[in-house]
Amino acid sequence: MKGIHPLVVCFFVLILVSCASTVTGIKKDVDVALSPNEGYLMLEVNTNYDLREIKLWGKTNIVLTSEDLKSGSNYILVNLPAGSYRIDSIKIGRYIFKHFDKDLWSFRVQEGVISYVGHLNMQTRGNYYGVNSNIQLLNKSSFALEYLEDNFANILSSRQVKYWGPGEDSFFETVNEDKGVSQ
Amino acid sequence: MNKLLWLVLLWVFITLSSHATTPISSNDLFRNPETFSMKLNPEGSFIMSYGQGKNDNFFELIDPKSQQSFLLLSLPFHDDFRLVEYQWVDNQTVYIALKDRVGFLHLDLSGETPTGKYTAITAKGYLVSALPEQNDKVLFANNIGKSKTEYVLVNVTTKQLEQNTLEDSEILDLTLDGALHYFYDEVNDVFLAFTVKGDKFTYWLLKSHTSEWEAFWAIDKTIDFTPVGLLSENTLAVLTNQDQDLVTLREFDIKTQKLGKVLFKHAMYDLTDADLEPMGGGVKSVNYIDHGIPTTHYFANDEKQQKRNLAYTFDNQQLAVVSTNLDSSKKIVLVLNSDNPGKYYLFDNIANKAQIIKEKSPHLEPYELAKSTTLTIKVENNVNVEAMLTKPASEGNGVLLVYPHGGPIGVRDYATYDPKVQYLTSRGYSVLTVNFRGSVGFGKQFLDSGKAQFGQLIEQDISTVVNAVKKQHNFTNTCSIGSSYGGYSAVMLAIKHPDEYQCVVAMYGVYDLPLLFSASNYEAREVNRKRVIEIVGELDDSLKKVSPFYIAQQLHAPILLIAGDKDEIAYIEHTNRMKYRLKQFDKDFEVIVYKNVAHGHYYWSGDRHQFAYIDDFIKRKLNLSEITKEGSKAALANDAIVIADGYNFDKLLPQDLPKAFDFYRKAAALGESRALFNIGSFYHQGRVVEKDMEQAITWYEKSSTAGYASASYRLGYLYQKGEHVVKDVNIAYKKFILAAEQKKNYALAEIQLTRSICLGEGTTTNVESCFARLFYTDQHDKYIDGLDEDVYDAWQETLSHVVLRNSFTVADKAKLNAYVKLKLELNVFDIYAAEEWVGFHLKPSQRKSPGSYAEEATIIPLDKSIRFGVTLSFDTENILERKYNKRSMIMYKWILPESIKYENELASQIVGLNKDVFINLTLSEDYEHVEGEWTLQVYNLDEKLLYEKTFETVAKASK
Repeated sequence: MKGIHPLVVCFFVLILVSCASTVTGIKKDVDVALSPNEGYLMLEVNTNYDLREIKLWGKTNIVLTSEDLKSGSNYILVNLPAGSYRIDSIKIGRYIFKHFDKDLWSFRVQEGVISYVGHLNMQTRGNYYGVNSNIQLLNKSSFALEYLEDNFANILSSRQVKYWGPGEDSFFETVNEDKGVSQ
Repeated sequence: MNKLLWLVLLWVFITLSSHATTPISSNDLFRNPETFSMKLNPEGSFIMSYGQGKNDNFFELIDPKSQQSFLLLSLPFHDDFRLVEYQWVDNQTVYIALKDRVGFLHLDLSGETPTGKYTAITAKGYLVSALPEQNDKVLFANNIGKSKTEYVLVNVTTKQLEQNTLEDSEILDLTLDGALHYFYDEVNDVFLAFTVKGDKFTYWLLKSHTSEWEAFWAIDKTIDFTPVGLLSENTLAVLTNQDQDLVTLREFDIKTQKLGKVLFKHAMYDLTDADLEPMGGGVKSVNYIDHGIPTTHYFANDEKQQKRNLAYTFDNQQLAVVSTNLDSSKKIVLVLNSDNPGKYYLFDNIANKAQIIKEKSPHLEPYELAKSTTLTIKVENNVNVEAMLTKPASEGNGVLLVYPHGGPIGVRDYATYDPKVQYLTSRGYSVLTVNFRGSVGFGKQFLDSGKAQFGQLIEQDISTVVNAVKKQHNFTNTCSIGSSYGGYSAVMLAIKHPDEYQCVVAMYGVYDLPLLFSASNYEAREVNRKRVIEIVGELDDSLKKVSPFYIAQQLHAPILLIAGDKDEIAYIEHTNRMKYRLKQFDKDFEVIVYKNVAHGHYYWSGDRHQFAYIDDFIKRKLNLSEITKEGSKAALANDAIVIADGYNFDKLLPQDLPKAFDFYRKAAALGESRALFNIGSFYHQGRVVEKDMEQAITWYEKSSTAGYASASYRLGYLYQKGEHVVKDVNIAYKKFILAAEQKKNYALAEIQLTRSICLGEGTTTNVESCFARLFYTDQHDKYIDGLDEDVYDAWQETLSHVVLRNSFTVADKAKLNAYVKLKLELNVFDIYAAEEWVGFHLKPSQRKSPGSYAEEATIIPLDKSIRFGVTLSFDTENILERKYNKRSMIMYKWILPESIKYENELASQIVGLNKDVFINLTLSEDYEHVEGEWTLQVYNLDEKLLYEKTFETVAKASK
């Protein structure tokens, strides 16, 4: 960084930030015609505090807006270019950001399938002067599947769901193998 | 022949009835003991006892001679008042450390009744030693900086600490940099301390008459190493399992940092604790868990003899010395066992006499508790495991509950009092707990051999024990039950042995072992994966073969899954995906997910619900008949109402009113008075069932007869108002009297009785008593302001009635008004009303500004969502009284259409001058949906009519 004026750095950061596209979750159970190299991302944000935005950085930079980030449980289903992503930051108040390190908050979106990446569980305590948040990305695959069955049965009938959050999990494959099986 | 058969049947019936178990109320089992601990003062003349009352924790002083106890200090139930420690400083002073303060309780023993005064210490820090040999001096670690490790040790008086005048105290030059905590061994005059730097945990020692701290041990987490005390100047006694299988008591040379000879080693068990004589005197005693029972082995002959004497006195009981006076002439001994939650005795060594002081849980005294028997079962060549079988105190229901413990590594079960086991055995079940391989207390090899044995060796051990037990005892059914690892194990046992288990109860369990590696982004980190691999095994397909989620199809027994939605040990995902799987395979299952509960309940009320539900589940699945033995009803009714409340109040579980109603019915059938009332309330409100006031009143009557005060009050209220019954103030009065008798200090009932006494409803008017009761003349000035909201509302309503309807003399009326003005701080009376707005609005939820959008009218369309009324403001013509904070009181009532037989309540309201007051009516009841005239009348305190307005309701179409 030696020799580069801080203002220049700021300029590039601003350019990068301004390149992020704003997306909102799919509301209707209609399987959109995904472009080649596109897939669905499924993420749940559970928060006790209205959030302003969540930035996802990766193949393309995405901003999830306050519309999908109200206090309570928010399931977000969006179509995105396939590739690796990570949760970069969460904006809580006007000036309050939480930034994340790379390793813990990475996930993938696979082409042509619904990539479930986890439940972002965020419990915030604080006041005007500052907040303290307890944030985890929980694997709640079975809850996600139940939600899809109840709300996006149409999309689910034509798309596989895969777990692409931290670690490996074969829940979706296992229950899919035995669909319709009963004693 | 027939006669003979009947006689045989009668004998069988009598035999069975008399042998059947008596269920213990969950309220008596799942609760704290009344006494937590006791400590003898230095001279052994008094005992300080710390216990729990209904609304507080408290310290009381017990005089063993007179057997009297004296309350010294009450601590409200609050986290800030959580006790950290207490100890006698001298015979008149006790040091008490609470979570947010420390201080001294000074005893005054001069009067007939001992008293205590607690004085907080303003100096920051903690007591290191009470220095019992030094009069009025203590050793205190004084925190002098912001960091938790910046302490100096001071020799100081209690007074100096209380006044924070430590500058006059003796500062000991003994500070150890970074010391987190200091200990002082008075007998040998040595200091101990420990420090933590990063992951390094180091023990330090400062010997008598030296000034250099010596580091004598840095913790290796894989080895047990617990210093016990000094054997000699350079030798410590330590409990360790280094280089050997069992935890033993060994010498440790401080200079060479090497372990020396073994001082004591048990043949089978790890040692859990030890005690030393003064330096040079050797070992006094060691502790271990023998066949599930905490045991102390003494070495000195006199101690051995004392123990023999005590053991002779308390046959087959566990004995624990919990406190000793300074010269060891007196001891407090806690006597306990699996069927005895604990009794404190004072033992006089010289007189060789034991005197009962107190029971830990006297509420359990009426019950016959079940006793545990420890079995040793060979599971493999040279490998034995211990198990505890607890059978009901009387004849059981033939069901064996196999109850593996959690962990599974480093945890164990005991043969001691356990409320869960007692709950189940008192309902007829036999409970089997097993210290399978992996359990702590039996050596390193035994512990390590349970690692990575999920669904394998551990369940083999349990099954071997179950088979051995079944060879000796007959059971008609077997169910598996457990929590955490025990929940997992319960499912695996039923999967592996489908013919053996007829039901499963799995609580807070893990069912998908690979999920342990990916339950969250933090769990997926390498550091966590290593930890999980050590206990569970490598992450590969073999884990799926021992994961209930993947092999759920093989489960045939009905299963109850219990989980907490905030569990971060066995994440709720485990239970939910197991549920998903069981549903997929159309299995017989039930799921209970507790709200705001983690890996088990924080409050006893949760345990009460959980075990009541478990008993209900097992009874349903195994078609067990209810216990009908005399004396069983109350406990069983309590179980049913606890389950019903869980569904009703939307706190522990999501609200499910039909289920709540079913369980209230069950409790009501057993005579539970609150359940009888709630059934009435469901009919009254039309919840779950069609609204039926006849049914409601019938159930209220049953509840009242069964002794429930709220039912008596509700009936009194209905008769007083003439709601759904013919108005009868005489019956109302009798019901209020009954309610007040059934519940002491029942404020609502007392207020209604006040109304009766003031207005002569059901009794004769007594003006003196009326004033005394209405204005609480025997209470302090602000008493009325402190009434609960519902009580205050009832009081205000009663006051309005008394003011407007009394038949007092002129003098008494004047007296009444004077009281009202005084008690309500009213200061302006000659007021008039100004009409600001008249009309209705259709959405009662939008109340903020009634005039801004609603319609101005006096013809009101009939609609359930309509609210109509007036906005008034009040003022006075007396200019001198137009000042700030002027308060007056109005009373108002609605005169209803003639076709409505009910009387509308008279209401009162305190009003400020020139402030809008919205007086309105909502037609929420069906009987109110009639066409007619509704007249509002507003009065001042002197019964002068201030305002009147008539509205007319009309059917919508005719408007």
